[in-house]
Amino acid sequence: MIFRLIAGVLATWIVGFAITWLVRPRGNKRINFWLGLPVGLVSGLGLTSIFLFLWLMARHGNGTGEPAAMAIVAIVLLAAALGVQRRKDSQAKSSAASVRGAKWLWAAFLLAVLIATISFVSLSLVSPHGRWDAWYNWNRHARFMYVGGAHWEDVFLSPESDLGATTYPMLTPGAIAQLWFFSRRESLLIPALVSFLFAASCAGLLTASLFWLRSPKQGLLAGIVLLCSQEFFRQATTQYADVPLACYMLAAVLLLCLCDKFGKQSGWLFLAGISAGLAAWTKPEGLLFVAVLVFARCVVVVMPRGIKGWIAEAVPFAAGLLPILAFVLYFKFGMIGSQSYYMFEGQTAGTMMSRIFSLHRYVTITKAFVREILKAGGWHYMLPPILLIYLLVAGVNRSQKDRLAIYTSGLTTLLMTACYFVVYVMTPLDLETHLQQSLDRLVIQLLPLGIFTFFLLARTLEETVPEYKADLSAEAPPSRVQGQIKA
Amino acid sequence: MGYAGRVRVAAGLIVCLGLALGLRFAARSWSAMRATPPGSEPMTLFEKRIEGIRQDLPPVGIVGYVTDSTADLMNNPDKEFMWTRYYLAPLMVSGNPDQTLLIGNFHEANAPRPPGFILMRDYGNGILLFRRASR
Repeated sequence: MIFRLIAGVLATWIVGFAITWLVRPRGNKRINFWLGLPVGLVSGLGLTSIFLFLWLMARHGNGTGEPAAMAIVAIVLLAAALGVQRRKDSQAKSSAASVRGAKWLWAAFLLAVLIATISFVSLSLVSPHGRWDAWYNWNRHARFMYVGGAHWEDVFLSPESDLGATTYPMLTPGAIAQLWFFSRRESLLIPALVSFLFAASCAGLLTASLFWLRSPKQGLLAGIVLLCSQEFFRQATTQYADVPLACYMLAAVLLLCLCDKFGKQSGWLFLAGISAGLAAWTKPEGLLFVAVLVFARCVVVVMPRGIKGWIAEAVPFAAGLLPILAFVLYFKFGMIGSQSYYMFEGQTAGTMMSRIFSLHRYVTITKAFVREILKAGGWHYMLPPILLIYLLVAGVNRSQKDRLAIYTSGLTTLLMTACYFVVYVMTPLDLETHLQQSLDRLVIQLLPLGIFTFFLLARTLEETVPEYKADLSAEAPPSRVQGQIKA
Repeated sequence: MGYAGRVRVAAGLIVCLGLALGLRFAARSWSAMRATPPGSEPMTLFEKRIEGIRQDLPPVGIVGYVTDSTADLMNNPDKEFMWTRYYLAPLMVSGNPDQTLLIGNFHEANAPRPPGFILMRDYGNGILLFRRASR
């Protein structure tokens, strides 16, 4: 079983990594490789879940043969990726980025990885089935995909599938069922493994992206902050879809930021579109994220580059986003269109207006938001103050080259927070209960993006500590390889 | 202390505090794991309880569920109902007892049985299978 499981994870990873590699911009092989590992893994998990879903639809729930087909797809993509590698990379030398100095930071990062892994494994063994939503929704839907056969769609279509949640998209269930099909066994290990892969990818994305966007030490510092955020890893062990969603939101934003830093790169824009689409295939909040990201990006890009500049980058982004979005919309409105959505249940103009003009609701929601943001990551109210101290001491990154990236990331984070606030204002559910049951998870969704924005905004150790400046010059930072990448 | 020194201290503070909290969390998680032998958590124990009834149920379709707990199964169900739904998937388990087959999950021996149903089998652990009496 373990051998087949490893083969399944590898096939999933290869699918994502090969697509990432095929569309990568010419130039820095190191950025493409190190960023391609986490981006490839999360893309692979998402795209293969769509593949499985389509396979089950086409074969009336018969998943036999799907792993073999997936393996063939992986091999074909791998061959294509290897085939174009030489042609793309022959024209540009990779930057000589090397990580020197600050061994203490590397040691701390590796210790943080160890701590996060031990915590995750221990908590997963304490509750191997995850928590409420895992057995109520995500893993149960995965079971329908795996053992449902011709009845796998009952979970969406049957009037007996009461208690809501059937409108939830299927990325996480699909990723779990995919590995069950590969390992030919419904092992408890697999939902936990999928959660771990998403959490680890999120930390990898954050570290690798800031490593190249800002500096190696900034990447390590950000990685340590996320890896030591116990609530993030505790949430991952629940096997909910909030950590996967956080992962896709971060991936979409950071790929856009890479384009801002290194010039317009169709490949990264295409991958950003895929990531945004997969966010919509993960949770309903992902659709909101797509709208927010498109709006935020439009605002940020139109001002300096004009509408033509925005359209130029919107085309490859849309090429990645729209096929997945069309699939998600078909799923939501074509397959399960008759389902009701709790946000709209019992809503009338009168009730909505009374909620909008209720000052008490705003006070309650603001208090809850402040409390949860201060508690973010499980740092016992210390993460925001300590980051603020760092920002005050180190100062703000004033580089023109980073401005668009900071605006994109910052505006997306702020707008998502504002949208969540509005959702609570309008919720037909009991406000206190709704806040209590969901706000902590929404904060977890935005935590990696928030950390990413913060470390984009703050000056790096290399920029502020004289002895590290030498490391920066030796490392040939991303800004200095810009010319190579554009080549 | 100069500017560079202050930045180093601030970065060091983030790292030290993060690692300290992380180590504390890892230690607690480890202790929790040691205190929970494999297979002893409530959901796995419930799976063992419900295992017997699986063979007597159809693989797909809809069955009802009754319990002596006070949970409102249609709107605010309890964990054991959700676990039953999870374990028996793709069989649909409904909180609406108006079905031909009914799973009973009782914690009290003298809990009232559902009217209009015949007991088909008692699995001896509070799990019972009922069939609707012909009308």
